[in-house]
Amino acid sequence: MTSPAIELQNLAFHTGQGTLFADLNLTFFTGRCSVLMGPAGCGKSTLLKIAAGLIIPTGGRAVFEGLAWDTAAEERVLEARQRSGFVFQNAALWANKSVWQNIELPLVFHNPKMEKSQVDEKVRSAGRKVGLREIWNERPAHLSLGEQKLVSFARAIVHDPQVLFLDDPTAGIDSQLKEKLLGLIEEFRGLGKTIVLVTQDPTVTARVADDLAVMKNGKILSQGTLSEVARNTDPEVIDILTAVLSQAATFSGDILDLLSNGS
Amino acid sequence: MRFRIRFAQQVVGFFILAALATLVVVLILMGLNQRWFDRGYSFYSRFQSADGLTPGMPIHLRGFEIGKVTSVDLNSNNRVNVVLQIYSEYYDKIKPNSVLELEQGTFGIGGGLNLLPGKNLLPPMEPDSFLPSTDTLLGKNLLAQGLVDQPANNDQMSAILAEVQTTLSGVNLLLNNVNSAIDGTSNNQLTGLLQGVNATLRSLDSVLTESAHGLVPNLSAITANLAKLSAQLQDPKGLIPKLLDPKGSLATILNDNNQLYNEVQSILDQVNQTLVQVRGLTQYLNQSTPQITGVIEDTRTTLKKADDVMTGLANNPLLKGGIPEKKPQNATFHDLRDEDF
Amino acid sequence: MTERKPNLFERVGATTFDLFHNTFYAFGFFWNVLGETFRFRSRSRVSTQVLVMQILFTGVNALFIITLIAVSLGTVIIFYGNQITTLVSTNFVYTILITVITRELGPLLTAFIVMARSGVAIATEISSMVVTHEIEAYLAVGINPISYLVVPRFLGVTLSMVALNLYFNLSGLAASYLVAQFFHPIPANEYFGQLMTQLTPTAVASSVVKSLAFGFVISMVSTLNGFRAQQSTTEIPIIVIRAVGQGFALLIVVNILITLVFPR
Repeated sequence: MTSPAIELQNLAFHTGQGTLFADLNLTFFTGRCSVLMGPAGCGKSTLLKIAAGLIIPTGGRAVFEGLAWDTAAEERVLEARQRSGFVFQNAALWANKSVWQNIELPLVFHNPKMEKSQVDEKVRSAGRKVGLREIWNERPAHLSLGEQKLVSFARAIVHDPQVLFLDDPTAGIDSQLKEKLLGLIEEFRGLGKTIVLVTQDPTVTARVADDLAVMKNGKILSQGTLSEVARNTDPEVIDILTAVLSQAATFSGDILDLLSNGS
Repeated sequence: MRFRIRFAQQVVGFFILAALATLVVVLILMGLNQRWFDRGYSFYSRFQSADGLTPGMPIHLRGFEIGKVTSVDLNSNNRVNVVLQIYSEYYDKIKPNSVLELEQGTFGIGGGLNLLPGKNLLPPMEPDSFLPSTDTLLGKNLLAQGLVDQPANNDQMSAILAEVQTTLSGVNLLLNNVNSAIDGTSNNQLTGLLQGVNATLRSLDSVLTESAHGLVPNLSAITANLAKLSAQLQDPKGLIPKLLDPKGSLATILNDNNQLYNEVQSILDQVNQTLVQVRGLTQYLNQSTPQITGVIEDTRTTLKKADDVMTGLANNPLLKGGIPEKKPQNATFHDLRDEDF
Repeated sequence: MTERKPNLFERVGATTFDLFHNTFYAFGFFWNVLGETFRFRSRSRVSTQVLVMQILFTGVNALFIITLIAVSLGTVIIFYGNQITTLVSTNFVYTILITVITRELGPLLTAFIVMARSGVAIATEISSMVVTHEIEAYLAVGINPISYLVVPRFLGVTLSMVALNLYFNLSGLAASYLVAQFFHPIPANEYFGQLMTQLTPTAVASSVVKSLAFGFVISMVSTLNGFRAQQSTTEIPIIVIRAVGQGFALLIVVNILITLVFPR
């Protein structure tokens, strides 16, 4: 087992409406693709944002590569952010900036002395990687959600991060684009990067997951490698896993083995 | 892309720089107009009271601002120390014997200090030296000695008032002398008496001559009248030499067939007439300064008494009989206070 | 289960708690903004571009309306001022011009215009960015929203306020001069010379300090309220209305305070 990349310790999160989760512990490991699954509204997006340090939890702490988001010095937090990328569920592109500016900003902000040619090259390369059309001067509002997600992906990888957070990357996009995105994630996984992914889509889990955590009603029902989780006897976990595994059968012989071993 | 967006940096740069330039230009203009960069020359003065004195108040010389008051402090002797700054360009106006005078503004707005420069061609006073104010004895003396250049028509009313006051006290002195003469205490005082009349007329003459510049033209008639009177008094064969005659005595006055008496009488008549004219002239000033008319009225009354005394002399009970009853002459002007409400 | 309605004590307690919490939050926010402002130079040039655009929108684009108001105000003052001052002292009109245009209404009217234009724009923009997760996106790429979004707006609004106030004064006083030519001609050097003599350093300082403070108030109120949005676009108009209300009230209070602090 590799070292932990992100540790969530005794997390609690309360909103004005109530408690989303309390006393939650979860670890994501370096160089693995961890998938967090659960029904809509169970708090998995919030959990992912806490793990990425975008939201400060109301209790407990989130530690990213040994650095606690809430107590670390701002400079260290900035460095940590530059080692990570985040793809939002709704893409969350900056509406008053063009596609080019959206991808370019993280680069030029953190590297003011970088040559313009170098910036151009990196932006184009990120665009090529995600298979973006030549729509550099368009505003996000003119793009489809799928294209927006591609731009968001390009923005997240333009500075070549070691850790990638993906919030339901395949939600609301057509199958062709979904295929493209899954390919991208697999490519990243192949490069040995740490990926933390939240999804409801069993296909995604089946394609890319190394580790799996199943969450429901603010609780982690099961966590571990895919095979470990597969041994869980909780009917709700089995419910979710069945869907995943039925999808997985299509893709991987290993999973079929797993399935036969597990049951 | 719109012009403003394309050239955003230039437009914004101009917008900010032009505003800053405006501020700088305004500050420079303020500094020049308010003489921030003129260190000027410092002087100090002393007043009895700080009433009407404020730091920053201007110092005027014939209406020009030549400096300002820097500070006003109460010193250990309960006098008011005033430090002032005279602008460099006016420094050479601060001649020795200059005096400061507090000037009251209309309705308490404005006001300031007036510089009355010394009447001489000496080089200006050393910086940081003492400029006496009209509140100090030194200042008063300088003014009295005529060493100070006072504007001719600088507040004519107070000048007239001051001079009329002198005239009045002269007439008073005269009456005392006449009284003692009647008492027979001194013969020689009669000489003083007539000299007093002479001096009174001269001073009245000078009042009217000095104030004539700014006043109505018919004053020249009055002054001519007075000049004639003075000439008569100075006549070598006239009244004064006769009176100055060491042999002159009460008997002489009364034993020359009333000639001397008649002369004195006619002089007093003329003075009275002159005063009536002066009063007529000052009537129009009465609204603002009723005191003038009051003083002149007093003078006329005094002269009337003098007239009575002369009549008394002529009708000395030892020689003739008593002071006759005089029909009172109504004042040509009535003060508001004289009216019945 | 039906929820129990909170009683009066609970409601007052909750309101007080909210008030304290919001006040502490606001002060923390100001402190953060000031800290980031001092680091602004060392930050990236991309922040400078945001600053330039902010000055363009807040300052340059408001120049026309500011000039229009200043000219109208100058006209009115010289018109009435001329009638009043002939009774007292001719120089009194300059005191009125300086008091009204430079010390009081210049900064305040400029602030009202800037609040109504840019304050509203900033509150709307920031709150909609919160709702669409754009703020989180800035955080995710390691850009501090305070230093990238708030500081340039703070500096831009404040610089624009100072500049607009100067232009307000310039056009108001120049308009007074031009209008005066119609009924009471004064030579230009006499008019401006008198103004420059009567204009005290205190008046200038008070005017500049006011525009700086107003710039701070406008940018802080609009950004702080903008960040209060949470998840729904329906919150945006409510936030904007609240920002405008708070902004105008604070501007008036701050104006009074500064007027009291600076001697006549």
